[in-house]
Amino acid sequence: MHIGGHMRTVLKLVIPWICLAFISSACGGSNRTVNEVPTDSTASSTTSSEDSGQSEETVSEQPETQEEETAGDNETEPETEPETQEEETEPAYETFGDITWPCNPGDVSGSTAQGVTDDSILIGGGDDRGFVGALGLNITQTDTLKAFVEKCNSLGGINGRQIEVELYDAKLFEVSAVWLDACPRMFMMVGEGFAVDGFGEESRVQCELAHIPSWTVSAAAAHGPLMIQPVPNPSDRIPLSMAHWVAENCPDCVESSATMFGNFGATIETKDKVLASYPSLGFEFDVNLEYNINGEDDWTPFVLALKDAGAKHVYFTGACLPNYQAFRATAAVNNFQAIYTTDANFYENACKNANSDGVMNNTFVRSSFVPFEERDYVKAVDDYLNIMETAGGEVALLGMQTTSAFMLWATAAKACGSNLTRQCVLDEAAAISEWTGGGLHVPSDPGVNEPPPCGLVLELVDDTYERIFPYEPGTFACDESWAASFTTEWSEAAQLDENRVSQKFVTE
Amino acid sequence: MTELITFTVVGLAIGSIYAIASAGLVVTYTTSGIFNFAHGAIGMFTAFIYWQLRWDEGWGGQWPAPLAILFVLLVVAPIIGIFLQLVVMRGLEGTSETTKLVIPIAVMLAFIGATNWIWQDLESRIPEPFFGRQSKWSIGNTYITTHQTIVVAIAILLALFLRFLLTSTRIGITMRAVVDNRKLVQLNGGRPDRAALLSWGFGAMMAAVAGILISPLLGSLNVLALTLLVVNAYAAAIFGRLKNLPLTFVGGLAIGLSVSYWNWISGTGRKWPWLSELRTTIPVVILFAILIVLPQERLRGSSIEKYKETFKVPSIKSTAIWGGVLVTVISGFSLILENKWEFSLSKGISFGIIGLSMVLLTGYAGEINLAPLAFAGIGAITAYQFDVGSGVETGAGFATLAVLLAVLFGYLVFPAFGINRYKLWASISIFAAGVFILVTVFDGTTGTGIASRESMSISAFVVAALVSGAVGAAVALPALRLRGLYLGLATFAFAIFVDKMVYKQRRSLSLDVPFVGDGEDITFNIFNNGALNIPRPGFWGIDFNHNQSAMLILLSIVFSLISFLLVVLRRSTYGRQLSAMKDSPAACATLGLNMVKLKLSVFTLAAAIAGFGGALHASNLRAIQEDAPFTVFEGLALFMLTVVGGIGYISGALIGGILYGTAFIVMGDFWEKLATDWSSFGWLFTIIHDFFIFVGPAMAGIGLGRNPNGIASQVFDGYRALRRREARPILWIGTIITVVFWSLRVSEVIDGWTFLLLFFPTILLSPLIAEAKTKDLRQTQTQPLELIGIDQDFSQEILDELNEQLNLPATPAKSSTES
Repeated sequence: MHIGGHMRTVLKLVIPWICLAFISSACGGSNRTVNEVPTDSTASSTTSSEDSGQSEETVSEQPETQEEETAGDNETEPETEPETQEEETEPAYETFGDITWPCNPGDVSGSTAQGVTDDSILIGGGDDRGFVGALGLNITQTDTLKAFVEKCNSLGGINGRQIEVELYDAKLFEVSAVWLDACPRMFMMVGEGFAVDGFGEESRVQCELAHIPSWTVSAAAAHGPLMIQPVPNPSDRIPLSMAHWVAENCPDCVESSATMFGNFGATIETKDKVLASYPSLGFEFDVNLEYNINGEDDWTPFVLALKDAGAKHVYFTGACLPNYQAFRATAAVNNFQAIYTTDANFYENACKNANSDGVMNNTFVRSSFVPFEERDYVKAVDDYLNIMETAGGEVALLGMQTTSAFMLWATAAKACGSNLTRQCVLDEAAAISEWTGGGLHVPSDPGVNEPPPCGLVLELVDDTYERIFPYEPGTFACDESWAASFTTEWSEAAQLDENRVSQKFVTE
Repeated sequence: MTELITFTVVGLAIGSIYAIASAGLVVTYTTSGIFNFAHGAIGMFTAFIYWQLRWDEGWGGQWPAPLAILFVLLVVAPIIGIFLQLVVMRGLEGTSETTKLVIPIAVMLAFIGATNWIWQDLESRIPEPFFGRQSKWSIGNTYITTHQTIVVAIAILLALFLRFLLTSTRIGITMRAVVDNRKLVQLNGGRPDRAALLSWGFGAMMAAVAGILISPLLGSLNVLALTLLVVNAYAAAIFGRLKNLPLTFVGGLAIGLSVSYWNWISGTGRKWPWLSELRTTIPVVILFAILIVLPQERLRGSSIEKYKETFKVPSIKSTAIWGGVLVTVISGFSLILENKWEFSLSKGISFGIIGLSMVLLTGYAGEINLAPLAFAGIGAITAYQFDVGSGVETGAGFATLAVLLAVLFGYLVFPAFGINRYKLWASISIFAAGVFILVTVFDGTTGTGIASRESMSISAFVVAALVSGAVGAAVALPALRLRGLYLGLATFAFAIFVDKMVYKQRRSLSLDVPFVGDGEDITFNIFNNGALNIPRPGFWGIDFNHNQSAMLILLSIVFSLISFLLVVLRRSTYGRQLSAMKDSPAACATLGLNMVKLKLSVFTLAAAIAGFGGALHASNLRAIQEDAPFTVFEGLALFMLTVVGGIGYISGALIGGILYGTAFIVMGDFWEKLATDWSSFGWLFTIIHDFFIFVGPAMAGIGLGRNPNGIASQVFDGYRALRRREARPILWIGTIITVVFWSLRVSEVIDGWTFLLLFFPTILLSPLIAEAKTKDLRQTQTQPLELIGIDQDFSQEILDELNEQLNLPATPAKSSTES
């Protein structure tokens, strides 16, 4: 695998996985009230901390007094304000989006768990940045984690314990080695995401290392024990937000739909989820075309097959570039018209930049994260971008996912106070019933491992993304009836118990 | 009608590109005798350069198309081709077929690595078709893009040009003459070398044309896809028998059309789902078929002295001792290595076990197999499906299948060991009964199909070896009369076939063993759930799951055992027959050896070892999936590094495996760590790091040209001094010092770095000291002449000394007598 040969391919193979992660994000929770749409945080980017009040549901208790012993240990950036806080009578906690930063000085103590000392917590993050076929793969995850840990430490750490972070690199296939190294040392793994997590899940479960990953890929990992995800991605749930939107806006499309999917596990699983859930709304998929994820040398046969079947709506799973673009170019040559629905991985700069000729118009992207274009409307997005601009590092949707994972972990860890154990962190995170990462994404219930029945739809119009549903910037649409549950062979293979936790690798 | 036209146009366009690519292959092969595996990679590399010049918005970009094309075709490509011929390929004269295959493979991997290195960020590189995506015209209802039209036109022009070049120009005639008889050309004042240079230049140019033309069709530049697409052209080149250009063009078009028509017939693979991947596999299926149907190559009668490679066979005793040493050393290491490194080392050793199959097949028998990991993958999948795969309804059907496989294995392999007639059937019966007992009694899988998920039974490994062996026989059977390059290509085609048709097979496969059970006895779905989680073995209460050391030691024991058996085999009659077959198939046939049986048996045996090793490797990794770790390119790299290690030696397999599975990764990590720790020199360490991970293995392969015997023999030579009687004290002192350092490390008195700093100098210096010391001794105390040679072999040095002492004329120095 160190032979470069193998794998620039996997770049493409990975993108679908990432897309899965987002799909997950698009997938949503079950028992949730219908109406909530986090429009509350539409304050413009200039207002910095007006809404610290509304975070009570997520942050359990705020210590009223703040001790000023942080002086030595933080290499602070100017924006941290220990001294201003000192002067104000009412300590104005710094906020991230609509939540208060869960980081503050404190005097907790004790080596309550592996990796935890009186004044530090050792956590791990990770990505596949060293994969030779695509150097820097998902590096946004470790960039983001580093920036946020720094920020959190500058605010005093978790109840006074400074966070130490080790940034692992799974190089795609070295996931097992990562876990073998992390198991005996780390308190937890946080905000990591490994494209081939199926390779490491067994090691992780056997050494009982808890984690709050950014995203998971394999069904066994998506339902893994000792795991909580900020935006769950189970293999047996999907939100039907996009399906509803299509049904409403193009009633003809419902009965003449088609799928196109890469010949690769993760994309096939995604397609299977769609095939298992969309028909409940009357969708009929006449043709399901499998293409070569390494690229087709000619897409005409696919276009002809769709044309013959009279498809009006095509669900495409895979990568925007190059496969989707090449396919759409061929469709244009052959005068084939349809609407195309895709997953959140189609929200990327390269994709929109490649569409200046408009050949990919009529593409509708489902997402559960606020797009970057709306930073003026959603403070969390603006905060995320500001922190990344200060710290440097790659900005991407996955980075927001890491942000959400880290904030969830930090919030739970803070709530544990002095008694910081893995179980406590998992329990506290699970106890949070509505989590938006400060407003970055649809409200989820991390403890339930179900995707929220919420979403938004973007349309790719030339070289921009336009929000088309719901229209209001910074909002999501939610509807209880959009939750779909089902089983596929993938979820069966994960051997779920009654709580939908995978028993595949649990030995006792 | 519309569809017919559409699919014909699509097929012709792709076929034209194959034709151009394969014509380039043929041009280089005919003049230099080297099948340029790197052809596709050159096309890929030049397509990247073209993109950089034509489309990139940054460095160098935005040249007008004609300028960029001319620059790439007339400057870049010829330079690459000529450079390759001058620096790499020219040195291949007189090496064995294995080396002639491996070096171009190394060059291919080097190009792939270099491309990944140079264009390493994640940007999508999109070359647009000529005159834009929408530029098209139509015949009736069929739209034809301008790009497709241009592709076909270029193919026709190139065909005409080549025809003109080869028949009507002086240089072309020289090139053709070189093909027919190199020496005669030289006698007539021609310059074969210059013709070869030109042909490499032309070849690279054709690769570049193909690369530039095909990349817009793919949508974006993709290293692997571009490299593999030209692999599809191999079939066309073979169709032209590697020398007939018109036939090659026809072959290329035929392949393009058959792929396209198959798409039409099968509805892009939807009609017969289990054949859906055939779309991408047709070219290699055609390649395999053409290789088999091609007129028979004459048996080679040449003798081994022609070649630079020579391998010495170790004695059985020393193999046993070294096996013990290996296990001891590994056990010692397991106490001081961190989990992560143990895991890495385990990978290396399990690759080494797979490498042993190549030592047997290629090193001993001279048969080339470019699909070692395909057999390994089949073994791993079998072990999983047999043992844990919930889809397998085993029971009586499976036990019967295992027995049948055992009988087949026995029938193919046992006669080779001189077991014949009633003895044969007796031993087959015993073997089959043994397998039956293993599968039914000692396993507990029978009946349910799901054994314990927590450990892999031993019978699973046995069944893995049997199935893999049977597949090996099935592949070898049609390919029996192929040798050298042709066999290499056939196995390469098989590897690609397995990659696509087996690893990507999503349908449940069912098998009905006749007369047994009811209905389908075996049903399984290969990678249905993404990754196969392969349990580790478990016996004697050892916890291989949690204890990486145990797994590491187990692997080293298995490696030693198989090596021991291989050396016993090599020293038996059978081994000598293999060696004879390698040296001269013609002579063997003349002497009445049954070559068919010999080949079939050695293929079966080697595939069985690979399957067994694959199952172990997978179980060490704990998970495999469709794209890792048993793919074509991984297989090529492992083959290459085993040859680098020394494919004639057991230790070569070990070195190759460790290089591949461990060393380059460790080196990468090492330099990366230095780069972070010493940030002022970070740039330097980063470059070294990148060098190791991107092109390190390939460079090792190219460096092979210097020493075709491999690293193993160099290591032996280096440590020879330590084996002398006079050097014993140094050997003992070195060992004791090492053990002391080791104990200090175990008791954690010193840390890992200190240990390394002490350990390596000891290991590296002791042979040097021994060398110096024995020289001293030799000068001071003269050994009685009659005792020389009793405790060691007669080396050239000793012979010279004897001659000197006895006042005999000096014997002519034999060229490089082995290790």
